[in-house]
Amino acid sequence: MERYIKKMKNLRNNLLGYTLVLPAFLIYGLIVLLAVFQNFYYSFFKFTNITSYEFAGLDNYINMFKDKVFYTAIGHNLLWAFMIIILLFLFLTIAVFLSKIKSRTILGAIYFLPATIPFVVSAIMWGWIYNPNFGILQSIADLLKLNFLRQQWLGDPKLAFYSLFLIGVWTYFGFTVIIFLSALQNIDRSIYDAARIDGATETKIFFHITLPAIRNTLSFLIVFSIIMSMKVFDIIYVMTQGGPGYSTEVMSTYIFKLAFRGQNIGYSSAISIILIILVLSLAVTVLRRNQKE
Amino acid sequence: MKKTFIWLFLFAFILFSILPFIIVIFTSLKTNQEMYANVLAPPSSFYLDNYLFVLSEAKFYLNFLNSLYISIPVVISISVLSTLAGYAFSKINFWKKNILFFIILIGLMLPLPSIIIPIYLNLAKLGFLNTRIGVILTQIGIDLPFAIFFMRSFFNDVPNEIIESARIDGANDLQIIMKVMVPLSKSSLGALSLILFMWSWQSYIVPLVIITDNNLRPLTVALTDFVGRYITAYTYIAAASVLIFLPITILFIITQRRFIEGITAGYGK
Amino acid sequence: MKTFKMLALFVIVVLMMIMGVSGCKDTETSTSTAVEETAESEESTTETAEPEEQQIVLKIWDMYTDVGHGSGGEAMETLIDMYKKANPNVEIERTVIGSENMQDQVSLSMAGGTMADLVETWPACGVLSGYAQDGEVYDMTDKAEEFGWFELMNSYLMLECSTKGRLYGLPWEFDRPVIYYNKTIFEELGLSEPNNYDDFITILDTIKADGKYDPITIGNGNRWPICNLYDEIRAVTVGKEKVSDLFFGDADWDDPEFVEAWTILLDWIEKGYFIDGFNGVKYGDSNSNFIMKNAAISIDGSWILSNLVEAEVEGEFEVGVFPFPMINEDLPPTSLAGSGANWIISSKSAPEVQEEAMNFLNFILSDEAAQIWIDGASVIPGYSDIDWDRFTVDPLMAEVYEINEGKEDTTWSHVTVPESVAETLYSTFQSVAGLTMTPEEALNQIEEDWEEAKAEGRVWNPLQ
Repeated sequence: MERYIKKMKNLRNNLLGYTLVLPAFLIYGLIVLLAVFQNFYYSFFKFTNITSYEFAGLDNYINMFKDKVFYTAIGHNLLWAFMIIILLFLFLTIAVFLSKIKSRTILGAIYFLPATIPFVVSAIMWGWIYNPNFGILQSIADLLKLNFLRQQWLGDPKLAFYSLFLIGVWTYFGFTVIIFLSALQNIDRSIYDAARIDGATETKIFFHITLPAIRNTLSFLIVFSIIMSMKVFDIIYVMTQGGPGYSTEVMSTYIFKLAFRGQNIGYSSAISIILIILVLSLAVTVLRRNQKE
Repeated sequence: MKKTFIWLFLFAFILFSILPFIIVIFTSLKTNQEMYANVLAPPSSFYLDNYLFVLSEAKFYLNFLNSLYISIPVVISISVLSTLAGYAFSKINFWKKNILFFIILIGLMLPLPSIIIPIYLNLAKLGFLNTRIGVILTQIGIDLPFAIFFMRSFFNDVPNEIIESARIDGANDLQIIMKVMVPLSKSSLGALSLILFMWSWQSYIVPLVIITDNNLRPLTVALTDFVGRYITAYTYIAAASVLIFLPITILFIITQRRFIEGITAGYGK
Repeated sequence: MKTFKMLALFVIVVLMMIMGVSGCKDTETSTSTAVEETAESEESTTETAEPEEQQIVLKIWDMYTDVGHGSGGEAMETLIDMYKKANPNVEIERTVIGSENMQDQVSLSMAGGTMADLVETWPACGVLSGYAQDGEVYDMTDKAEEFGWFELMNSYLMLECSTKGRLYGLPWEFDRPVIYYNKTIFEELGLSEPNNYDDFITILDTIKADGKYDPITIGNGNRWPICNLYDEIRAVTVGKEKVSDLFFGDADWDDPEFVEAWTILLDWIEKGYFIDGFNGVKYGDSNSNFIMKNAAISIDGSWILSNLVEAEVEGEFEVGVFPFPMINEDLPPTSLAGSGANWIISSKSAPEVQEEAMNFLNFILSDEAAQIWIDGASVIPGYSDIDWDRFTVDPLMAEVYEINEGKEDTTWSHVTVPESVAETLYSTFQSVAGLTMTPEEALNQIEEDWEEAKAEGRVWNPLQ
């Protein structure tokens, strides 16, 4: 009898669960998953243009490992992710400071403001800021006699990547500050008070109380940042198209150019598959590690 | 002393985040001569001709409506679908639930350029090319994983006892969702809707590829065309830019307190 | 809470509005098409004896929007209306697609089988020949001969639209390279138009030494401008024969003479003739430098002329033009010519629709139509030996074509090679301009890709 009830309950749960998930899964599957499978399929073909292709086995995957641009692109993605993760601690500092003042919500909102901007608009804004001939930074340099602001922000191959990264930070940091802030506010005040009575310094409190308490938030943001960094596309494509040369090329821009301009859809699909595997494994590794701790 | 330092630090980031806005808004209110004379200076008067030009000449109102026609159905459908799916993933134990959720999470990690060509070809077969429905469907598919993930994390924080007691009162699952979960998740759902609205408002590559007809295009795509045509008319471009981000930014400013509460409830601890 | 309720209310109201509006629209269009359909079927039943009167729907894509100077949208509408009036049985459905997006849309829609019947796109040469090899575009040759297009149009541009001796496109925008200069600045510095390359260098050195203005504005953020400039220097250094050898013969991209052309360009860069940070400046911003009188010279093409003329009025200075002087004066004068935009017809359309499309093209080539087009879009169709009395044209516009008249024409590389090679070209040339790669390395890499494309038969081959 008990088993029967359990079985019925299982059946009921399965039925209910699948009914609720089905509509979402159908659209997702039809639009996105199907496209991923097609990608996987295409990755074994050599395209001479968008309509004609022939089976090529693993050629695309083998070619990838000989492709210098591919390595450059992947390196840029990893560098982007690495820098964002380092900067997370700066954003955490902002959140800690915010949690100490009254007008924290409104400041959090101001920090989030750039994320509301369509990237086609931010590309225009930052295009003016960086313009080396009559741009905003140039004018500020003239006004305040700050010569270090006189740079070829997007034209210098050594600098362009970091200029774009700054735009990435601009749109992203507000989000992380808000998430950190909420995690901080969930920490029990009395622990702090107790620590202070025991004479702990602010730094000690931060490392021994605050940081452990927000560990989950931190690992969530690290995973989220990795995903964002591996996907980064829009702003780079609109501002530099991966240039000068390959100095701002990332995997997404390379994929886009190969698929649309190079008409090399098989190869671009192979890179997409590798990119998906890479992101998944990075995300899973970080999450696993966090769970162990 | 310490307080001043904190404020200085925070103020630097305020400047960082709003300076670009101020410059664009200033530029949009200047005449071309004024803009060429000094990019940094505030406008000398409240000059609105740029806006009038953009609205009348460039037919931006049409693109504005298109953006709405695309964004609103996207927000509503995703909100409904992700509430249902998020509830199921969070509160119901069904067969292979974790694998299914993992498959949905993969969608979070896909770069758009890698799937846009197959999507285009599939929509062509369905006859959805050059229609708003095509863009809406694609946008839903792309944003759903995030929304489901978000709603699931929120529902995870809702204690099971609430559901149990509702069940004892004789409510079925649909009633639980409608009468218990939705009211509880109001602020999270609100925040999610705003994020989704933002994303579909900002969306560029999807409508660019799927819609060919200029009369069906949303603002973002129209803007790049506009910039291509008026390559040197910065004041017009600034006015057009302001018109594009203003609705969403105002919406955010009105709802910011709720938004921040809601988003933190969703991401939780 | 209140704001949220308001918000919800707002959303609902808007949603209802949309449902209402789109619903109305749908029914409207569906009823009207239904009416048309019935009318059509009636027609076809009653008038089967006269097949000429059959209703033809011609779908057109073009790149001319309504906004902006010289955008041509209105002129296009006028031409379509004129054609419809003369041919009442033809219905034309026009869709505007931005020029930046057209190339992607064409290749995507060919794969999806959704391309319009008649499309105005770019570029010709390698890309168009790709479409032709895949059998995606209609062969215009026979009809074109009947219409006399081969006499009417510039033979070089017609070649750009041909593959293996067959014509697949109609050259609709005649592109020429131009050096624009600010007459006011030239007067201020006591300069005049150069007669030869040495003169030109002296002018650049003088402006540089004076220091008030940058000599040349160029915006390589879009990656093609430096390719264009290299092509010009290459053309006037090695001549037409050698360039033709590259595209149709045995010459290699990394041929010493081609490397030499890059060395000249590198020399310009190192001498600081260009604006600061030119390698990351967008094309539009580069034009602004010219209009804002930051730079004295802009090396560009005929396509931007109408924008500059408009700005000229506003900026209160006068624009002058001169051709790129020959660097190797032993060669006959050489210039570049290109089909900036060309009409193609889908091979998948019905034969009667294809024929109607050809008729439409022949109509817009008539003097009357072309004048409307020149006035509205500031674009010169690819006619041979343009007789400037035939049309009323802005004098500066006429000058742009006259200074290049009678020269040997060669072509721009990035619109000649297949797209995959063009990508390499853009990236490597930008690296060379950023001094992170040598010309040899760049040209080597392009040569590799070029040979691969050649082996796969993807390169442009206009003659049999």
